[in-house]
Amino acid sequence: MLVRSELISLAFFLALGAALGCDKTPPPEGTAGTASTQAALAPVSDGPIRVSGSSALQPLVNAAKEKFEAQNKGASVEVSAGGSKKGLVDVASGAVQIGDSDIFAAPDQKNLVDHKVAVVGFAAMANKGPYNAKITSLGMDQIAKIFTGDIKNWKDVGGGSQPIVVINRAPASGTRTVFGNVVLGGDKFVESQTEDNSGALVAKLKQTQGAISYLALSFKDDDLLTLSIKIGPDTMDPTAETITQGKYPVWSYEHMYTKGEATGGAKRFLDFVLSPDFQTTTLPSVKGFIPITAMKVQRDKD
Amino acid sequence: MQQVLVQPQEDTLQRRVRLAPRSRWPDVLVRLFVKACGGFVLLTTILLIGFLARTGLAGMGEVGIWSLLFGPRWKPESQLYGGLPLILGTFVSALGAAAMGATPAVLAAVWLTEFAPKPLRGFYRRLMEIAAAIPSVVYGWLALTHLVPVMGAFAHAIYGDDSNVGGEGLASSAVLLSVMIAPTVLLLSVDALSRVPYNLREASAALGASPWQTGFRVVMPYAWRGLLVAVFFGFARAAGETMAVQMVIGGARVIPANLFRPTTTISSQIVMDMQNARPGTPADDALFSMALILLIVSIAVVLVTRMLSRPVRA
Repeated sequence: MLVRSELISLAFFLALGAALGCDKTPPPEGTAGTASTQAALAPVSDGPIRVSGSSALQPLVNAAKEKFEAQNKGASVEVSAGGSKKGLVDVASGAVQIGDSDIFAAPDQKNLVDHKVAVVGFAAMANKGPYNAKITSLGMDQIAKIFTGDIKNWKDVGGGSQPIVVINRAPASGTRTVFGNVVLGGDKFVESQTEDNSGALVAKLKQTQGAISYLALSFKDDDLLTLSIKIGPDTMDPTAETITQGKYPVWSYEHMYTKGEATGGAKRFLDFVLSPDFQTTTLPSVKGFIPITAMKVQRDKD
Repeated sequence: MQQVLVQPQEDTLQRRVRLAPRSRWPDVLVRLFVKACGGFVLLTTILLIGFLARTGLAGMGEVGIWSLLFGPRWKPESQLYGGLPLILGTFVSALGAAAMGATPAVLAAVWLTEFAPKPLRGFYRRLMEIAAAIPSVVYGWLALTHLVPVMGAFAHAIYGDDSNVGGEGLASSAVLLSVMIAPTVLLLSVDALSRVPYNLREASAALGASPWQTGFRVVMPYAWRGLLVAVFFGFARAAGETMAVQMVIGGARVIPANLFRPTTTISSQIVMDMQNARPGTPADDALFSMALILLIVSIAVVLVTRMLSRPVRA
């Protein structure tokens, strides 16, 4: 009797082991497979519409989510932020239906369909203190040198003596990518403290003396110094006017990517965000965002 | 003494179970289920280590083991996979924590078992058990809001107001980790000290030794293996801690100029980078290589601990 039960359990074990062992041989394919099944199933079901990515775009998506859920009984939108590149990775893997991004998808991500929903400007923002009370604008090259680490003290740009503490966004950040491309000519940031979320960064800037970073204008804050940029003889404030006219250069489109053409709930949500009603009434009321239609200049890459 | 009392009871208990009627179907099924559970956990662990080893070794092949261990700069988005800042960050914070947290913890354990008034012992123990159970994110949050500003002021006091130092860095993470591991080290040390036979203390006292002499020259030397195991365990916990450290370390992927400049550790860098590491890319594989290195360190610590905690012949 003892022998039989031992044999049964042993056989069961071997079967279990064999089954799992087989699964083990191609793990990457296996995981990719489950992810794509998820993606294939997700739009069909009427569950929540999952959105992830850019934390710069998050305030606008949250505003849209509230209105959309109020208008459509039973609809639910889940928004999470973690950086533009995470949004692109998530939507490509099928973890979410919509991936928010401040930047264009990589050229090899051809299956992603772009929906440009707004424009947002970016600016260098700094901790306010007596050391930089007189500074309101800096030249493009000065700002660049601060973030590459060549200028290390506020006194070198006309302020009082205070070491500059550069705080970076994580490499996954679209804000970092756009600001780096336009101001620094690439990701040439000095290696320093890193925050992976815009909201947390604002809090950090307020509490750290001499700190400077870069943020979307949707996070503009009266307790932070927002730097204008000197271009030639002109000083360009980061405002809707200067951005739409193409005078203030640090801006990007806010994209909402879907994998393939949008379907189901994701399509309804995107249609809502792109509707004239939302674009002309709600969108301008959310701080820092500019409707796509207002732009007098265009871009097709970052 | 306890063992002598308990042993025969266990024996009779087992015999009674064996005599009970067996081999009915429900019985077999339950036994099968329990065994399957046992096997499943084992299999999961083996597959996990297998997967980590495979991907990690692939990463080492792609970017080179030399770079992963000694490269000075970690920047996957620019194909730089220098793991030295991560490894240094992990080791310096864990060693600092072991030095600052484990020393007082072991001494406190000696005080608690040898000198503390009886009623206080139980209370102290409960308190430490609670402290050991506090989630790490709570420690991290408290450190970020209260420890980091203090360390920043401290750093400026040392290096001068005009220097580029701050509260985020190895100093903060080592202090935080020392606080986090102290309760665990203390509890393990108390266990080790309580296993010292009581008659040794009596013999020592009979020879005219004071309680202090007994504590430090008889009890501690006798329990040294157990105490060392406690310290190693604290080190391993500190090296693997992620959440709390990530909140105070700063997240700069370079070797810091001093203890008050931001840097990173293996585990916090994994958290930062996994968001945008696409599976199958060298960046992803290199990250798994770092995870593998961390696992190897942990396994080494566990092995050393096991060797040390082998029972000594009395």
